Amino acid sequence: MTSDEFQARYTKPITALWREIKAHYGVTELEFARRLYMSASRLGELDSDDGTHYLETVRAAEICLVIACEKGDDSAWRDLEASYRHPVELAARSLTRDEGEAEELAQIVFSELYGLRIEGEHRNGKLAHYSGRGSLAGWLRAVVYQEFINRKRQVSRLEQIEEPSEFERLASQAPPLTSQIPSPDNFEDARLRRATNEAMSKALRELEARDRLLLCYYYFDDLTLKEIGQFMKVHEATVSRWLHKVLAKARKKTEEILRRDFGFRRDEIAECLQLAAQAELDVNELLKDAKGVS
Amino acid sequence: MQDDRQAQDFETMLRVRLDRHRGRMSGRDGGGSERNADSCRGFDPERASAFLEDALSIADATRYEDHLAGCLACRQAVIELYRLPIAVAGSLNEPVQVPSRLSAVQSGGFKAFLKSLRSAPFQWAGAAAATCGIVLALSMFLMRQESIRTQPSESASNPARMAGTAQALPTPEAAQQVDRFADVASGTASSKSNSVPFSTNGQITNQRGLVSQPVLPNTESLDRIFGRVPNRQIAQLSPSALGGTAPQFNVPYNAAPVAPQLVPQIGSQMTSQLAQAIPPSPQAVQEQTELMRADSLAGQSKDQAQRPAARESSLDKRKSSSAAMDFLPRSFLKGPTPTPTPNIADEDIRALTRKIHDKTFRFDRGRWVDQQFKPGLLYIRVRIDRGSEQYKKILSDIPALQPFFDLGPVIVVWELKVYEVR
Repeated sequence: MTSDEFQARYTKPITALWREIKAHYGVTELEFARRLYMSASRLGELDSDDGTHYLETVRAAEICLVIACEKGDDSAWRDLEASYRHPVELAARSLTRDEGEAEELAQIVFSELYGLRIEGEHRNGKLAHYSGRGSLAGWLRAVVYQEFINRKRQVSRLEQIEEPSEFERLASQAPPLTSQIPSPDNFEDARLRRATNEAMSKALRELEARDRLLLCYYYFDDLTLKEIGQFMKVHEATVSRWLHKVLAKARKKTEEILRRDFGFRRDEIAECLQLAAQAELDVNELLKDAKGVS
Repeated sequence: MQDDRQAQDFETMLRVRLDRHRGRMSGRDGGGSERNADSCRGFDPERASAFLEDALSIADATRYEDHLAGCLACRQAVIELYRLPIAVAGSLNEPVQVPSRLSAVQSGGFKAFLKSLRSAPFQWAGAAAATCGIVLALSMFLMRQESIRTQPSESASNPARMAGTAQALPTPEAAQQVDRFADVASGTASSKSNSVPFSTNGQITNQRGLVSQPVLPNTESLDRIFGRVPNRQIAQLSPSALGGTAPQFNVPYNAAPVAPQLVPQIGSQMTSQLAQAIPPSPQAVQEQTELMRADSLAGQSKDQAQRPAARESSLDKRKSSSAAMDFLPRSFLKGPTPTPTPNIADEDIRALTRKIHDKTFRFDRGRWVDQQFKPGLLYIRVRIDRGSEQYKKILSDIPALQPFFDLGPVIVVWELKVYEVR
C-alpha cells in the first residue's frame, strides 16, 4: 500500500484525528497523514491487517508535536521541553541514582532527540523513531533507559580491574567447567534423561507464549506474584492459579510426549520424571529454545 | 490419586530445577539487574513502551510476549522500565495517560488495590463491600453524634471533663464557637450555624463567601484534628478558625498521630472528644456541681449507691439512644467505656469559679453567683434584664458593677442590695 492509497483509504479517520489535535504548530494535514503512513508501514501494521487498530490507538497530538519538532519549530520544542523534561529527568535520576549523572543523561537524550547529525536537509534525530503507538512520555522513558544501558556498556568496556574482589566477581561470572559434563550411572539412565529433556523441551515449546513468560517472570526475573499480577492486570491469586495450571500443563504434555513419541510405559514415565528431578536440566535454555515456535 | 502425586512430583521437580537455575543465574551475574540488559542489542524502546502501555495489537503483543519469554535481556529491560517511577507530565491536548501496566505497580498501595479490584471476580464484590462499609461507617458516626447530643447530662458524669470544658470555654461566645465547630465536624452544619453552611456539593462556604473543603469526610483531617488532641486538654478555637478554610485547634500537637490502621477507631474516639468539646447545659452543670459535692463529702469509694437521680437519668438517656442502634451488633453499641470518676483536682473546681476584684463567683444553675449571696439574705433584691433601661441606669449610677455584669447571667451582692441580671 502506497502513501496515497493509505490516505485515500483512511481519509475519515485521519481527518478525525487531525481535528482532535488542538495545537498544530504549523504542521499540515498532509504531513501528518504521511507520517502516519510511514509509522504504520514501519510497524508492519499495514501488512498484517488493515491498519485500523493503529489509527484507533495512535497518539495524534504527540505525533503532531514530534513532526513540528523535526521541522524545527521553536514553540514545539518549548512545549516538548516543558511537558517531557520532567519525566525524562525522573527516569534518568531513578536509573543513575546520581544527580549529576542524571542531568547529563537527560541532556544526552534531548540532544539525541534534537539530532546531532544532519543528513541532507534533515536532522537525524531520534524523534523520527516515535510512531505514536503508546505515549510519548513512555517512549521517552524507554529511550532514556536505552541510552543509560549504552553508556553503561561503554563504561564497562573501559573498566579497570583493580580490586581482587573484582577478579573474583568476574571469575564467578564464568560458566562452571564441570557443570556440562554428563555423568550417567548407566546407559539406561542416560537414555531416559535424554528422552525427558527432549520431551520437556517440546512440552514447554507447546506452551503458549504468555504461559512461558509467566514462568520466566516468576522463576527467573524474581517478580513476586503481586508484581506479575499488576503487570498482567490480574489479581495475584489468579497468577498463582495460572502458575499452577502452567506447571500441570507442562507435566501433562511431557508425559504425553514421552508416551506418544518415545513409547514409554507408565512406570518408565515415572522413572523419567524422577531422573529429571536429579538431572541438571537447564530449563531456561529449554524456554529459550521454545522461543518463536508457538 | 496416583496422578495427583505424579503431578506434585513433577511440579516439585520443575520448581527445584527452575529455582536451582535461578540461583545459578544470580550467582553468576553477581546479583545486579542491569547486567543482563547489557548484552541486549535488540531492545526496541518503542515496542517495549507500547507493550507496557497495552498499546500493541493482540497479535503484536503475543509476538512480543513470545520474544520476551525467550530473551532474558529484553525481559529484564522491560521489567526495569516497568519499575521506573512515573511522572504525570502535562501533554499537549490532554494529560499524559499513566501507562496501564506501570501505574498499577508504581502507584502501589490503595491504587494498586483498586486496580486489582477491576478484575472480573472482584469487581462487583469489591464495589458492594466498599459501599456497605462506607454506609455503615457513616450511619454509625451520625447516630453516635445524635446520641451525644440527646444526652447532654451525660457529660456531667465526668467531672473532670466538664470542669475542663468550663475552664476552656468560659464565655458563651467560645461555647458557641465550639458548638458550631461540632456541627461542622459532624457534617451536620445546619441553619443554626450560619457562618459555616454546607453547599450542595459538600463544600463549606464561610462568611466571606470563600469555599473551603469540608472537614469530616477526610479521615486524615479527623486524624489531624482529633488524633492529636490530648484527652484532658480541651481545645480553644481561635476566632478566625471558622472564618478561614478549616477550623483548627489552638492546641500544640504533643500527642502521637493516629496510625492509618486505627482509622476505624477514630469514630468512637472522635465522638468522645466531641462530647468534651460540646459545652454542657446549665442543668448539667448544676448536676455536676451536686455530684462534686457529694463526691467530696462521702468519698469516692462508697458513694455509688448514693448518687443523685441526675446520674440515673443520664444513663437512661444513654440507653434510649443506644436503642436506636439495635440493628447493629452488640460490639458496636457499647461505645466508649465510661471512664470512672477521677479525683477532682483543685484546678478543675476552680474552673467553675471566677474571681473578679474582691468578689468570687461560682457558676450555678446557669448563672454566676456571688459567694456573699445567701438564699436567706434580707437584702433588697433587684432583678433586671440585660440591656433594659434599668440595667443601663444602674450601670451609669454604679460603674463598678460593670465587670460583674459582663460575666453574663449573674447575682451580685453590692452595698446591701442583691442585683440579679438575667
